[in-house]
Amino acid sequence: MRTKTLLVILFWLAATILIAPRVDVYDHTYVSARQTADMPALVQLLGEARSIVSNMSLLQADLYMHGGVGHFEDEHGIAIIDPENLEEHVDKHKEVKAPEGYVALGEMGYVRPYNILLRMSDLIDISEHIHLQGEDMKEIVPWLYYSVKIDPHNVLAITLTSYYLSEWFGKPDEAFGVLRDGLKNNPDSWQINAELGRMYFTHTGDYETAVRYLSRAYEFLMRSDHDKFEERYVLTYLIRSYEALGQEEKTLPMYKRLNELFPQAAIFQERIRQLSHG
Amino acid sequence: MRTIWAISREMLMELIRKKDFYVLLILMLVLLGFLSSQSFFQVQGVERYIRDFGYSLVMFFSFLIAVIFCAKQLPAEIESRTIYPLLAKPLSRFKLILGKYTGGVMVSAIAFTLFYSVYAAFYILGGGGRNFVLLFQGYIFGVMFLCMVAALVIFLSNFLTMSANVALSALLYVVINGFSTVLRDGALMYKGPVSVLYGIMYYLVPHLEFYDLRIRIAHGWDPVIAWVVWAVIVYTFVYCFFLLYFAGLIFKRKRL
Repeated sequence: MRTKTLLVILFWLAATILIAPRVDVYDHTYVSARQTADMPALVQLLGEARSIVSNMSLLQADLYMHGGVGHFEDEHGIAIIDPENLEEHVDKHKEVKAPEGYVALGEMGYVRPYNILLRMSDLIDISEHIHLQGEDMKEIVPWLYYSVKIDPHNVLAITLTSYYLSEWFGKPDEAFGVLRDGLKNNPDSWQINAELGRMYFTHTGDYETAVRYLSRAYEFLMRSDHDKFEERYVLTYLIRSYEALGQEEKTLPMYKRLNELFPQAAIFQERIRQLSHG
Repeated sequence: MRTIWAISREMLMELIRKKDFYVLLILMLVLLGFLSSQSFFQVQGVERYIRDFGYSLVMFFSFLIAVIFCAKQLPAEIESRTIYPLLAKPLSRFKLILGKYTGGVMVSAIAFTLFYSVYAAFYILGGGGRNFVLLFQGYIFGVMFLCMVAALVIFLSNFLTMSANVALSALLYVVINGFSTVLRDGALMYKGPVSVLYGIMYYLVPHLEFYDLRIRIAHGWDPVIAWVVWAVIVYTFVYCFFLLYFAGLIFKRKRL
């Protein structure tokens, strides 16, 4: 009886393993680029869970970036919103001063000295906040690699990986490889097109190709939900590429658009005035 | 003492005879070897990821050995009725529990030592900063972890079958690792009776997370300060003593 049950379980397990990779829920014309056959069998087996696993891998890269400890989310948040308040905000994370007869536990509070387990826990845990620097930065690479390989449609992973490869590890060729593979799987992604454009502009000096990718990125960007900062990012590189090609006259409508987006920025008005007067 | 040693030796022979340990050791060698040979976008010298994964693997495999070996001892003896001649030796039930526990710790500690040696070899041969104090602390904490797990599993085997015990122990491990910080934060953040309640719960739960030095070793943090290492050792012995005492007490009253 036991052998029979075991055989049935093994049969279903084998059937699942054999059939699951063949199932492609995206098998229709629009996403014909999603070829599951190109992926390793184990990744195919993950099915749609690969998107979750890929994002987890990206989060792991972030964790490694902070020495395996994670970071104060609010600290990073305020750094983006209001850098001037950062110092004051970081102060909040400084150790709590314990009253007499108590022992401070980092930023968590304080306890009596005999509360030994809580003190041990505090001293075993790591609560410091660091960012990897220099050579150590390479430690995040395996997680970026897995994130990209597990889900070739994770655009954020693709652009982040290419950015780190080109700007931190001096591997622009590898970065181009990641972006080109990414573009095959996500031909309509404005982010990948924009990143390719930026790479051509920054690393090769091939401004014509940069313009081609950035124009395409802008086209896709305008078709999707986006904010004005994303639009400024693409337009800035597009303008710089045209300027590098000596085709400054083509940048006028872009400066006008930037002026619409950021009316307070005098630099755009100044540039529009210069270009309008030849 | 001799009877306890005899029971422990039986378990040790079981480790040598059975294939579980060898399979895990080979699997570990293959996995670590494979990961070390991996290349990520031609970026050289990536170490933390292997250290992290290797440490998790060592702890997980040792945990498996400890749980599986300890969980099957009492239920198997009772089911096959070999417990009757064993208790007729004469051997008190307390000594039987102690013998099974000692055997469980020996088996898992030997397995852990071999797993950890492989890990240490990868740690030392790999590039990056090496911290031998931390590596040694990792070993001590690993052995303490197995002492705690073995005591917990032996205690639970008074009530549970082997499969249920393995499942519950694994679940406890996950829950304790995930939620003991919630108890700690509750004890610190709240005031009055709620804080006391959280504090009591925090003291009662076996803190398996204390033994996890994965982040410290993988990311090259400083070693744990000396008094905390001693405190963890003392904590382990005290907690194991109580677990085994109650395990013996319950087993003594159990109808076989």
